[in-house]
Amino acid sequence: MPRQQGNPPFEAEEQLYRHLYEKWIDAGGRVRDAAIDLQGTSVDRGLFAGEPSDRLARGDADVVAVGAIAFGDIPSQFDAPPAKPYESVVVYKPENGNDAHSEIQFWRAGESEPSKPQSKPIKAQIREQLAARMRVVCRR
Amino acid sequence: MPPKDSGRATTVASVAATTTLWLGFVSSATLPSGGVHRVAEWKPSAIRSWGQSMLQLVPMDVQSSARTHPSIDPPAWLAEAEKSLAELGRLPDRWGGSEKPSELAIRVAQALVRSMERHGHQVLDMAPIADGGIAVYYVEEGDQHARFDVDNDGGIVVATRAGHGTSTQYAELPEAEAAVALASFLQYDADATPAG
Repeated sequence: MPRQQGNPPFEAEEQLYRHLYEKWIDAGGRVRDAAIDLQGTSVDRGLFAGEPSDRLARGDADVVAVGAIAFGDIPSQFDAPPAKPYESVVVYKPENGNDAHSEIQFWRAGESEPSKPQSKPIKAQIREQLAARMRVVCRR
Repeated sequence: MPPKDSGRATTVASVAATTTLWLGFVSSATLPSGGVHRVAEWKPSAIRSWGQSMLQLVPMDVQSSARTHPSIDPPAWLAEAEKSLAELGRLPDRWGGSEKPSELAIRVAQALVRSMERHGHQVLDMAPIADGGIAVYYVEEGDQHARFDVDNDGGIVVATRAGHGTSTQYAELPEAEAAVALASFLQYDADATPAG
């Protein structure tokens, strides 16, 4: 289970929804690694997001699908040998016009703020592990 | 004989150490000579046996229609791929909340696509990476995967997965070595797949 910040707290089964552009979905309908933003992957928390189809209907025309991952399915830690591992932290960050906005962030273990990984292979591995757990739940 | 997947896993890892020699060979071997070019082919047997420090670069004769000749028109898909790259370069800043691909990433991706074309491999698709850069896909089929990730600073990661439950291998490589590594992986994959 990842760490979390913000209230109300995330439950393990709460869905986090990610907007997906056409190029972020492969021909087999799987979410590509490219959809994961290591500076903070924006998602909408299910508690306030409403139906994914509504989100799709009112969103950017270039957004073709909505992906989802359960809070409890996010890996809590990503190994980065020989350095310290990265931890995932889900932060509830409501914005103007989007009460559901949250971010999946990546923090160096033991640090108190986000830290984008510098190692390119580690970055690719984190993207893969997160994208593999995300599934497309709604398409235009 | 080692299992099929272990040979493929060895491919990318061994390329970084050997590409300098390989490139030196190719650069001297691709000069025209009487309508026939001599180019290097990295035999799968060489890749498999590299664990025993056996690099075998086997020169072979091929027809002058090889894509090493500048007078041969590039294939139509290459123009389409370059057009797609140019479109990625025109994404607005902070498109969809994400970082747009840099000019450097576009140039490096373009060079990789051209290198792979010379190795005989057609790009499958390209996508902007959410925190900057471009992913260039060559295989996305079931559990099999082959792509480049080009960061906005021009750095390249070669990502390969042979399938059959294997994990993805990642290697950060310079531009010239990255194309050789991915082409070798794809060639090994084709050679290792039984006909029919």
